Amino acid sequence: MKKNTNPLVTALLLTLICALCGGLVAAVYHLTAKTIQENREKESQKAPIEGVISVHGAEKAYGAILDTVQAYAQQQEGDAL
Amino acid sequence: MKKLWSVFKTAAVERNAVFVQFLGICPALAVATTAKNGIFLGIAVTVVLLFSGLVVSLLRKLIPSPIRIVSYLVILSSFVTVLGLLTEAYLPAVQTSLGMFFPLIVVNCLILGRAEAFASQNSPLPSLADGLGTGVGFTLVLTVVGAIRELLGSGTLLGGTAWEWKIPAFQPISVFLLPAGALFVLGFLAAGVNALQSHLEEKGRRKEKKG
Repeated sequence: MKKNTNPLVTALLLTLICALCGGLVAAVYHLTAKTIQENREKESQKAPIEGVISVHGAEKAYGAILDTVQAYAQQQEGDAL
Repeated sequence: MKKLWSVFKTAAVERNAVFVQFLGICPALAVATTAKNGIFLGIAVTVVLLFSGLVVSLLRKLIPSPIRIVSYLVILSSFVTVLGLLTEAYLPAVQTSLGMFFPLIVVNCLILGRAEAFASQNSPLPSLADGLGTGVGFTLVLTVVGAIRELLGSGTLLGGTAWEWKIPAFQPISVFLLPAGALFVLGFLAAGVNALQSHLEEKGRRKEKKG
């Protein structure tokens, strides 16, 4: 590792590293953007309450609450019809 | 080849990141509530360790000392972002189950520690071996911690997968799904592993004396 370097060279090296890393991220983003968008659209079509409760794998802990809420929502829908 | 194996073994077992160095235990406490989560996070950390170790090692003679940490962080965060994008595109379920802990891999002191302590001072091949060893050791620990917490906290193993197994007539102890339960599991496991390691070392010394 270099101990003493000219500040200008140091700044240039850091810029180069940032540019290389940014380029890598931009390239991967370009390749995956379409698929990510499709996945998000699929996710948004799910019932909103299901989407919220499935975050961080907490669906097990809140399973009972989810069932109750879904049953209540179905009942409300039935009543409205 | 022997040297690489020795580096791998040291990183995975003798200097295990969690049990010996107690590095990066935040995800072990927070995310590893199931074996599945442990495996996913372990693999993600291993991939980042491998690539960041390789790049840091390749650039080690180029990066000036005063900006080394910031450079490592830029490199690490790039690989975490790339991995996050790829996972979100092709394995969205993994991204959902790891949640915010996926991007937090960037600030995992284990990865930055290996970049600073090993990759910045060694050539690419040993750095890859060290990254792989550290990652494998970390994945094993997270998987074991996750499996124990899942068994005791939910009464299942590999829940939500095709290999799901349930303990019949078992009352789950929900504290094991909380960080407090993780501390218990990790503490007992670390104590057990360190006791076993000391015992084996003592046995080795006795053998040497006799021989």
